[in-house]
Amino acid sequence: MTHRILLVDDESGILSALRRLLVLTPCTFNGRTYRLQVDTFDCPVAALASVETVPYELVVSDYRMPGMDGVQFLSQVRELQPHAVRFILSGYADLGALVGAINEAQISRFIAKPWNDYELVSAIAQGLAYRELQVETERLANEKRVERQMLSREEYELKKLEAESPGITRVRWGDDGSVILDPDLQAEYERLHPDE
Amino acid sequence: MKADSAVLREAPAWGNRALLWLAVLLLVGITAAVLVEVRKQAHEQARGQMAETLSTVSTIKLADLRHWLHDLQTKNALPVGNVLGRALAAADTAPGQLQVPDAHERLRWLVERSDEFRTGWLLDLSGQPVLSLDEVPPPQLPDTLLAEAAAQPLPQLGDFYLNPQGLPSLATVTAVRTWQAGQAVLVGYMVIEIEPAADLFPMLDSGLSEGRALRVWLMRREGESVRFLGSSGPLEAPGHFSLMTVQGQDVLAMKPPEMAGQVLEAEDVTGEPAIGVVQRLQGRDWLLVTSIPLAVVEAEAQAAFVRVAASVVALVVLLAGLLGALMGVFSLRRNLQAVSVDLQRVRRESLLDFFIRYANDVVLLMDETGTILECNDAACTTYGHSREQLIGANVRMLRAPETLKDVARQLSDASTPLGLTFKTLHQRADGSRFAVEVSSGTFEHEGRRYRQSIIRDISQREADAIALARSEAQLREALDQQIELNRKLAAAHSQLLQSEKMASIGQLAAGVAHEINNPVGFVNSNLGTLCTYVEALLTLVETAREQLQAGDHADAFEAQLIAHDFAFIREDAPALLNESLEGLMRVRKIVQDLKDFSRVGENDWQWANLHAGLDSTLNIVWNEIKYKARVDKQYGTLPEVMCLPSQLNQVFMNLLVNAAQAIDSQGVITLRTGTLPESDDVWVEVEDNGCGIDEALVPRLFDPFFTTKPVGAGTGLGLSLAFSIVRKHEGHIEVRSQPGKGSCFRLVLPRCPAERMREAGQPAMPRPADQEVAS
Repeated sequence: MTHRILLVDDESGILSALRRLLVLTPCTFNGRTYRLQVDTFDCPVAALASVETVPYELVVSDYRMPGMDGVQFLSQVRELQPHAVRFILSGYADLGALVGAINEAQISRFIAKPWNDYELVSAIAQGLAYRELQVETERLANEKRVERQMLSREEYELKKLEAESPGITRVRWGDDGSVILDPDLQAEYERLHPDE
Repeated sequence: MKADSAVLREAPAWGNRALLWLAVLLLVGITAAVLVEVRKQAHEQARGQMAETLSTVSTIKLADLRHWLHDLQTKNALPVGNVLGRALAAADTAPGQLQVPDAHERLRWLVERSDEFRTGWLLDLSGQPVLSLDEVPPPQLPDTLLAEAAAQPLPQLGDFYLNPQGLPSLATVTAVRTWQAGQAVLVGYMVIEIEPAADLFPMLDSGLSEGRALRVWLMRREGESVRFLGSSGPLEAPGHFSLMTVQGQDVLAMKPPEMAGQVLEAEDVTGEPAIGVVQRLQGRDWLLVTSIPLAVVEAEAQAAFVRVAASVVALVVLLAGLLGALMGVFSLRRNLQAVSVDLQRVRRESLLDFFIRYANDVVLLMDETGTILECNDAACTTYGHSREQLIGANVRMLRAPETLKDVARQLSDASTPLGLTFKTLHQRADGSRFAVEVSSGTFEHEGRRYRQSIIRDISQREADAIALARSEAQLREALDQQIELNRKLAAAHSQLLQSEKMASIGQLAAGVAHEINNPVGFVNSNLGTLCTYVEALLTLVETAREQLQAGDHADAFEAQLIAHDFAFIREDAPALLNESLEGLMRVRKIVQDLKDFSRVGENDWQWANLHAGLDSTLNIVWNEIKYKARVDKQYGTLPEVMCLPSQLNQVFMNLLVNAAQAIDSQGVITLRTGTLPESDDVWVEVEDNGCGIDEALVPRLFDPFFTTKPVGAGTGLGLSLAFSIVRKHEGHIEVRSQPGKGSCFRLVLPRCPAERMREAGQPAMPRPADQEVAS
């Protein structure tokens, strides 16, 4: 099983360096090695679009980026995928940025550039382990709740589904009452058939 | 001098007096002449007026008289066949007796019609009375009158007569006719006696002013004399009526008939000289004389003359009085002038006395030895000695004991014509000392030499001088302190600017750190990866060599290659190296930009390309800008500019950072450069389309510590610093801003500041020397 993580930085050099690093270096924590599937974006807006459909276990973002900064980006990620672990990897941040990162985006780590390869990889591994634990805990808790009839089975299934593939429990309605499965496709369709 | 002025004053007095007398005589003469003429005129005027009045009155009276006569005739006319006629006709039967009572009644009625009718009679044709109303005989009437009455249809008036009571009377005779056989037949006469005093005389008198004594007389001419018939005045008494007969040409009434109506001067009936007018009544020898006594006329003329004369005399007297007053005023003024001249002299003399007496300074008059002869009040108050004590004492008494040794020398020095002014110490009566300044000199008067000294207390002045010196010293000290303060202020200012520079660099640190840390981050990481690659490669090379020596097949090596992921390495390594090199290049570039920006070690004036400065500064702040704005460079062609490049870069940075901060999310920053056409100046514009600046804030933009950014975000010194830098370059900054639309800052700089030019012109001249020349 691979663990899908997302890297966002407006600097392509950073992204390729990180990709190399994560390909070469085994991501190990507590004797457990995580195989990673790495998605990279140099634009936070595009990354956010991906977050809407693809479940990620961990998101690493730069702080200063065009369009939106790391805090804004991660805050939205948190809304979409609350279980995704969030890191900030930044060359510089003032106190305001740090406060925002912690209070709004609720990041679990702030890693400074230039980073130490080993530390970065083990932080990712730790994050993944932590997330696993958390998801597990929640799943157990929900099961317990179902047992105690504090949670209906439907709700439980819903939560389980949502945890597996985020967004699946939500329906996008079009203007004409249709169900939009893929907003990108829809947009493309509308672009090609403007008169409809 | 005095006598002369007296004579001078006397001379015009003589002249004036003679002139005055002459004027008075002339005045009197003229007045007399005028009075004589006035008198003549008054008489002539009075007489002329009187003559006119007399003519008028006499004409009116004559008309009145004629009217009266005519009235009388009309009133007493009788119709034919009336009662009286019938009665008289019947009387023929019984002569002398009239038995008709009606006739009596009628006659009485006729008589009683008027007041002036006294009584009446009826006469028969023979003239004998038939009926007598009051039982008195009828007057003796001339037969001619009866005949005339019988001939005329109207009654006839007889002449004056005295009735039996002695009253002047007149009578009218009216023919009485009756019808007999169709014809009017005369049967008798009716006689009515008239009392002239009842109506005629008052009529003549009426309308005459009593005060003027105008008189109207009715007269009858009788040959060479006239008989007074009656009128107003003193001759009204009936007794006079019959007696009054005047004669002679001197009498008015006796004037020849052709002079009727003319104003004549003669005697009147009373023998009094008078003027009058005589009118003759036509058909009768009656004269109507209107006259007034000459004395009355003269009196009137005299009165008028007296009135006029009084006015003239009053006028003359008034004129004379005025003249006198005028002369009095003149002489008074002259006297006053003389008096005031005297007064001024006296005042000047006494003023001189006062001057000395009340002078603030001590004034002493001494003889040659210094014995005080006279002193002023100030001497007494200054020294505390009484005047008696001072006079007769020697001036040495006033000296402080320690200065006495100089007295002899000073006395002799003061004897020179120039005198002597010196400072010394004097002593008061109570022993206190004070500094004085003495101005002393000598003069000769009536063979004696005197010495005068003016002494001024200068203790206050001395004290002031000391205080002045002290305060001057304090001032100088304060000035030194101020200079020191200024120096400190200048130092603080430069420190402030330095710290602003630091602050702005600190502000940049975030961006720069990001810019540097990014490449450093991935280069660092790449190097780590590269290590792995190199290890793998080395292992592979080692393996290859072993296998080569062992003569193994390539297949085994191929397996080794796959094991070490050689394909990936081969593919990735060049990319890794390229990326890393690129990253390092970027770091180098940023460091270079930083160096360019700060121009470390280049704090001198030099010719520099502003575009290069703009670009390097833009790189430094790029990280601040790039997420917010697009930069649009519209560079013109710029010559090199004599400047302090690092400082100008500082200005560019401030403007760029401000522009970036003015933009909220996405904007455009436009950089423009160019040269001003009419001069050598160059300009650089930084324009943004951000929030703009409130117009009210524009004047304060360059004030130190003025900022619109939140606390901590800006020092408020950026633009202030920019301003001072630009001013150092002898340029200026123009601001154009519209809230909501953006701002534009334009730097205008001379190609070479004038001061640089001067220094360039005198390169050999060292600065301190330069300053010295200038001072």
